[in-house]
Amino acid sequence: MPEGNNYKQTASLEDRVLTGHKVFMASLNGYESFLPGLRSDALKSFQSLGFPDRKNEAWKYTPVKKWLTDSLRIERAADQHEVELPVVLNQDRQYLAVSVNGVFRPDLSKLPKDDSNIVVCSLEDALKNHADVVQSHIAKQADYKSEVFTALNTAFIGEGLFVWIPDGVSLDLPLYITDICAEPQRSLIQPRNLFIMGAQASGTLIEWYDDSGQSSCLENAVTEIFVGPSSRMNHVHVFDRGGSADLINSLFVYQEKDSYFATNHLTLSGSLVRHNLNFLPDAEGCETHLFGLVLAGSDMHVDIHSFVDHAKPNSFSNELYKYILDGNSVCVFNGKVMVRQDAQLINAYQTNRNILLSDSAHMYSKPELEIYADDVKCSHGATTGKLDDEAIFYLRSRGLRENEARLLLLESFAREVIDKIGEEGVRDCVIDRLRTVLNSQ
Amino acid sequence: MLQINNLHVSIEEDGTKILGGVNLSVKAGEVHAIMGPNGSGKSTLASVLAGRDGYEITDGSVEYDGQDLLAMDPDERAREGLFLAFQYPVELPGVSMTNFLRQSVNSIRKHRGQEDLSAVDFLKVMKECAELVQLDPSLKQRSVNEGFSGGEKKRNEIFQLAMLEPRLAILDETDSGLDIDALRIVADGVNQLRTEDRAFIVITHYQRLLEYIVPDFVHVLIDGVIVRSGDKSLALELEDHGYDWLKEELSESTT
Repeated sequence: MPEGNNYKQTASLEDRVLTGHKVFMASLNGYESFLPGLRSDALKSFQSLGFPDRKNEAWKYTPVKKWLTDSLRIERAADQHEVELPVVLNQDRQYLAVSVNGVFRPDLSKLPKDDSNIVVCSLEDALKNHADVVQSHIAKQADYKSEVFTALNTAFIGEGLFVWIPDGVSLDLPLYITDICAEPQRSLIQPRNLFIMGAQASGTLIEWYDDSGQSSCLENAVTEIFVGPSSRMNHVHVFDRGGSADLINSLFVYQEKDSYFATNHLTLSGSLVRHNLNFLPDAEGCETHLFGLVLAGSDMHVDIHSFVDHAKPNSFSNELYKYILDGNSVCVFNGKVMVRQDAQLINAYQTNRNILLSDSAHMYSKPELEIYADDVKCSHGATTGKLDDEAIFYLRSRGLRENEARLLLLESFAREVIDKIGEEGVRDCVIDRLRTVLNSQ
Repeated sequence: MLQINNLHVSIEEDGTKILGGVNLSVKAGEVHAIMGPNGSGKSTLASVLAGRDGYEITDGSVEYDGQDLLAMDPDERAREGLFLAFQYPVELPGVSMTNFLRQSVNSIRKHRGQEDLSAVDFLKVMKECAELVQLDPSLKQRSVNEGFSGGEKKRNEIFQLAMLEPRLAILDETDSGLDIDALRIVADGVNQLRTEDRAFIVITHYQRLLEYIVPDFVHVLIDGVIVRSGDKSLALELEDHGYDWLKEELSESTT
């Protein structure tokens, strides 16, 4: 399609965003006053930044305009009442926070008791009942001035989930978070999440997004996570919405002194998936563990941009991202690590391993290390290749059929990341899905 | 059990001729040693029997229990009871020994019409077979061959041989890279696995291994053909005179 037509398409989308925003603001009914001026500021940023094209380095390999078509609905649809939860969200020892089309549904959720002091509610309720806490955290890390999708989400802050584990409190069971996307038409859904962990608090948060609702939306999600001093958070994000769903996921994690944060992003299906993952260990004694697995089948485009900003000395980060690419999939891994000048005694490690199962798959892997301190240990490594023929022959010589041998090797490859998930139920579900996906290739 | 008839093999990529008419007959219960200098085609023979890619069969045939072996996929051959102990076993990072062996054992058992081994029985068999080659129990928890020493890798091959109970086992230079103690352990394991129903083809460069794994027949492969066959005393003659002696005899007889 000629360049002129392309521009016309997205200009039209931008116009509809602006119109949609007026409608949205009018619908706020006083909710606006809790975050005065934030949304309109963000909208201005969005307008001046505009949707990125290939000239924008961070979007060079991800021509996002391809997915931002005219037909994308901006307005929210009505609530859906009938939902069926997947197996992983139907277990005994778990808390559950269910949203449908971005709207939090306490009636479908299983929440900690009131006396636990743990807060799990909609962002709207949080703004009403815990205004101080929200106002002192929201949009403090999520960069809406230079990131267009964060700006877009911030302009439309409305639905989302608020989780607050106060000082000294331990989440005794893992909290599973899901959003059933059941929009009948392809729509733009923009959840805004805020997870706060207090000092010496701990807990596990598992975000699970699959295709139970059987719809195909473009989710532009922003999540801010605050990890308090000496606290410990384990976080998992599974995206498995099926072949017509798109996700632009911006995560901003802020760590305080002596805190531990581990996250695992598993992308098992989708059409366009872009993760912008930002981590700021802004104090000494922080530990940051980042894992990711991408199963990219045909027609998938998965782009993970990860940024670890070691701002203070004496901290540790470790990244392991693994991709399996098949068909004509295109994937990107961009791992940036910055070690600021005064951040001495930093250990930062990054590994990216990719297996290409077809000749038409493309992998773009780029580490970016910007190191300004001089007493640090930083390393990065990336390998991209086919499955080892010798390994396949060895397994076949032991009686395994060719596809069994390939599956064993691929599963073993993926397990290094999957096994980092603490919850057995989640691991089992992911492995099941992995086998289904690999078997169908 | 195995009948190799006039086998001619070239390298697929560039057509280099490696085997120029190999004939060999192996019956159940027999141990055949194949010796030869470097480049004689010993490993090619092993690879072709196991079904490795990259070789072209330009003439001849191989019958295994009356079946056309060369028409079978490598995994089919394994399920039919053929086993290759690799000269250079590959490392499989992330693939656990237990997982791999369980899949392998049950795949072959299924083919034989047997049921899968129960978890308990499987562990029992694993323990017994590991003891046969004095394989460190902790190695079973590891990824296949990852971080194993040369000796451990070779013993792991014999350990797998014990687990899979093949009918025809081909040992491809199992002694290479082993010191005398490791050699004894490996040979011991193999000897304990000799039965009337099982045949071994032991490929080796040196006579030393054959002192421990005593063969019924010795064949000498030079430049892609078996130039002489005999019994274990042939190996000792080679030890004394070297391969050149045979080469000289051959060229004398042709002139």
